[in-house]
Amino acid sequence: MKTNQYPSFFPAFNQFGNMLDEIFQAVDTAGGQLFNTGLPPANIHETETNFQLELAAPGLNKSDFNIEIENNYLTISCEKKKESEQADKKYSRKEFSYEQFKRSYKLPESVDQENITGNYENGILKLTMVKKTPSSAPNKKIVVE
Amino acid sequence: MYPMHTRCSHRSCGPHQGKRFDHQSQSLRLKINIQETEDKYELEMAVPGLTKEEVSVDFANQILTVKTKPNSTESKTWLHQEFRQGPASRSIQFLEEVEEGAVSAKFADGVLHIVVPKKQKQSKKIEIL
Repeated sequence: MKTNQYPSFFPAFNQFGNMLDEIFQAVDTAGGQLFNTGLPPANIHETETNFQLELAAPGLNKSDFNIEIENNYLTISCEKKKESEQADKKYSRKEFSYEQFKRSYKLPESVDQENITGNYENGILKLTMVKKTPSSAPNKKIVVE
Repeated sequence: MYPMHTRCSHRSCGPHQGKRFDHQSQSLRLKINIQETEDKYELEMAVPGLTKEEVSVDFANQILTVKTKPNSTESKTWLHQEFRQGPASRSIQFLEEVEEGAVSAKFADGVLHIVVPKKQKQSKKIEIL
């Protein structure tokens, strides 16, 4: 399996409003040397209460995905076993193949790791990561007298 | 050698160039896998996130055209974006004669599978009198 390890940074506004912060950090591995089909592309969307990660990996089954969290890293991997019939087929052009890949993201601290859900529909894997509810009391207002 | 080519008026867009856009229609370009067997071509187009109703397949004059038109107009602001969902298309011209009437398409898990049978070559036997 070919490994392409490179970090990429996703800038986002942190809780202080306008200071840039790196919240997701990615480490990726792609399979398939013959054609440069790359990794399944991902979009990340943030709402007030959660992060949503959408991975466009068409042609797979729900059971092909292996999603794990270890040391604050969320890893989505897939290694589809090739059917013997498929091995004989010859591609004259191949622009996508997501049967073997691995993508990891460093989770932001604000994500509640016990509260991540996913579903796979029409070739898109959607993960919803709920943010932790702030445990501290609301900001204390200091009155200048 | 490629038995077919993707139609594009731009000289720079040869079969080896992986352009994101279809220059003819200025829409996003669909990704395609092509397999060829002795009697047919099997095509796979990546259409993640779409339903059957949002995809159209058209075949005329040896040219297969697949167009997608997502219904949802929901515009999200992305923290990070690697793919885009908008109207997309791809046209494939077959250089070898195919059975246009027998083209079939199937939709599953964000992949459109299209089978294009080749026209059977009829060999004419010449009898020696």
